[in-house]
Amino acid sequence: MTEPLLSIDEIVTEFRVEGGVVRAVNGVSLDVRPGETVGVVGESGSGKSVTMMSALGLLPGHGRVVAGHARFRGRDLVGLAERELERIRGREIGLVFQDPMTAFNPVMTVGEQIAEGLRRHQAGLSRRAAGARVVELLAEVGIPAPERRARQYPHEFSGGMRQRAMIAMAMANRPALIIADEPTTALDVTIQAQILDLLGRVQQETEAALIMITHDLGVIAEMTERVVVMYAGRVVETADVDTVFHEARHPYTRGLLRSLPRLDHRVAELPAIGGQPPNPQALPPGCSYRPRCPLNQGRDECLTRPELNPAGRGHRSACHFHAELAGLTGGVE
Amino acid sequence: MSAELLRVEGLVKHFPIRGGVLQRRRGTVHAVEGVSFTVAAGETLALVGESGCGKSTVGRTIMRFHEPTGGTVTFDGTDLSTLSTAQLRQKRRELQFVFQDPYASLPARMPAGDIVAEPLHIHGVGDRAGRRARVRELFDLVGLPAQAVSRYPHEFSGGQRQRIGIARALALEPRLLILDEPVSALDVSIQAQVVNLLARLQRELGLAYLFIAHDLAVVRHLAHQVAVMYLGHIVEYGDADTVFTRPAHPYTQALLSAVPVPDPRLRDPARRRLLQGDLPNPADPPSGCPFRTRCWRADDRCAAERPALRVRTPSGADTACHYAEEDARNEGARLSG
Repeated sequence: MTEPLLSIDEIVTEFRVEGGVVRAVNGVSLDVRPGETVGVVGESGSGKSVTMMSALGLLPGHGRVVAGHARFRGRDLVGLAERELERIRGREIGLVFQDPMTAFNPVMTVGEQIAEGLRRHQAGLSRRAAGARVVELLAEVGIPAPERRARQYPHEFSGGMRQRAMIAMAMANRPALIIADEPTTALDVTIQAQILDLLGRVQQETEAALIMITHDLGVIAEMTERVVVMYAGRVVETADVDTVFHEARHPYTRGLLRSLPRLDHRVAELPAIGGQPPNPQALPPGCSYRPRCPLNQGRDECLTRPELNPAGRGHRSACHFHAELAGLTGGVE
Repeated sequence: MSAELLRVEGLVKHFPIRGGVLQRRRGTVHAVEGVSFTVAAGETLALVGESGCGKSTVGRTIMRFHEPTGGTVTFDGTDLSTLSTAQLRQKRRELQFVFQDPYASLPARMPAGDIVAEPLHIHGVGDRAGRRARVRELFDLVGLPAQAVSRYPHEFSGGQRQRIGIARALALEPRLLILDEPVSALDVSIQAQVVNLLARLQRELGLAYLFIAHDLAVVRHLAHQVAVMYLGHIVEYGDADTVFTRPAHPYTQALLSAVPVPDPRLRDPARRRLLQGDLPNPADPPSGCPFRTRCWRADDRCAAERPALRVRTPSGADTACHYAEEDARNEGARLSG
C-alpha cells in the first residue's frame, strides 16, 4: 500500500472556554493517500473541522493541540513554526472553506490575491507571468471574462463565483492535497452541483488528494472513496464509501442514514435518532453515543470507551457490539 | 382535496432600490411577480426554490410583514386587504409564522414559558392560571419537558428552540402555519425529529402548512402540493408526487437532478443537469421566460414571450415552459427507472 500523504495520529485538541476546557477532538486518527478522496462527515460539534484546523495550525487563539501528530510527507505539522506552516499551506496543501468571503481580503482584487499566492510560493515568477497565470486559472475554474474578473473585488462576485475563485487559489500551486471544509454548504443546490463538478474535475486534472469535510451525506456519497464518520470529537466508523452506506457497523452511522429524508422514496415517518448530541463539556462516560444508542440496552460494556476496532477489510467501528450489525441491512430498532 | 383555506392571487411585491444622498428611487427589485396558489385545510403546500427566488417574500407578504404591491390574499373566504387593522389582528390569530432561526427570533431574556404565553397575553386569552395550563399543554404537544418553562432560550439546543417557536405559533390555535425554512438550521439527526413533529401536529390538529424551503428531500417528505419558484415566478405547480416524479419544467428538472443522492451505488455524474451561470439580477430580470438565460432549451420564442403557468403535458403539473412536453417524458423515465 502507498505511504499516506497525510497521517493524522491521535490528535487531541482543547479549547479554553468560560469555566474550563472543552476537548473538541479526542484522539482522532486518519490517513489520506496520494490522489485519494476522503470524506469526513459529522454534525456540528463532532470535531470534523477542528481536526483539520489542528493539523494545519489554523486553530483560533483559544484552541490548542495537546497531543498527537499530523505527518504530511513525513513532516509533523503539529508544533511546526508558523513560517514553515505557511510555506506548506497554499503550496502543498490547498484550502477551500465554506465562506470564501472570509478567506479573501476584501480590499484586494481577486486577481491580486491569487497572484500573491503564486509569487509567494514560486520564487522568480514575474508579476506579469503571475497575472497571466491568474487569468488562466480563473478560466480553468469556469469564471467567464477572467481578465475583467481578475480586476474585481471579492464582493463583486456571487457566492458561486467566489467559491470558484477560491478553488482557483487553492489549486494555483498544484498542491498534493486539497482540504475542502463544507465547500458547498452556503450555496444553492444548482450552484452546489456546479462546484462539486468543478472540484471533481480539478482533482482529476491535478491528481491531488482531497479531504471533503461535510455534514451532507449526499455530498459524501457523490464525491468520496473513503469515509470517516465523527461523533462527539471521535471517529466512530471508517470504511470505503460503499461499506459505510450499505454495511455500516456503527449504530450512529446507521441512524444518521436512516433519518435522512430521500427524494427517491417516501416513508410515513422518518426514523429519527432520539435525544441530542452530548454537550462537549459534559460527555457521558464510556461511549459518547450511549444515551441515544439502540444497542446500549443498559449493557455494562457501553460504560467503557470503545476502541476503533476492525470490523472488516479496511473497515473499523468504535462500537462494542458492531458484530451484531453484521449482515443486517437498514437500521437497528 | 379538502376545503380551500388560503388563496393567493396575482401576488406582486416590488422593493424600491434607493441611492444617493436624496435616497431617490434608482430601480426596483421584482421579488414576487404575480404568484397564485391555494392551500387546502389540513394540507401542506411547499414553496421551493433557491435564494432570491422570492419564496420567503411570498410568506412575509401574506403575513403583511411587507405590504403587497399587488394581488389579493384570501384567508378562509375573506380578502385580507379589505379588513380593518383590528379585524386583521383577529384573523391573524388563525395564521401564524415560524421563523428559520429560532435563536434570532426568540427573545433572549424571556423564559421559554413566557415566550409561548406571549401571544395569549397580547390577545387577552384566558386568565393567569388558564394561560399557565395552556403553556403546559403546548409544551407537551411539541415534546418539551414541563420543567423547561423556566429556562431561557440559550439553555436549549437548536431543535428544542425550534420546538419553542412552534409552540408559540400554536398558542392561539391557528389553522395555518407559514413555516420559513423551519429545519434548515438544524443538524441531520435533529432535523428528522422536527420534521416528524410537524407531520404529527398536522395530523392531530388538522393544520395547513405553507412550507417554505430549499431542501427538496424534506419537502418530498412533507408536501402534498409543490410550487417551484424562480426569479419571482412560479414555474411549476401541482401535486407533489407529480412534480417530483415527472417534473416538466427544465428548472425543476435541473433542481431535482442537482440534489446529491445519499447512496454511492446510485452515483451518476451524467444524471446532473448542470446549469450555466448564476441567477439573473432580480432588479433587471430577463425578458420573456425568467429562466431562459440558464436554460438549455431556450430559443427566440422564450425571449419574446413569457410562458403561462398551465397544464402542458398529459400527466404533468402546471408548467410555465413553452417546451415542457418532451422533457417531461425523458425525465419521468429517468426518475422512475
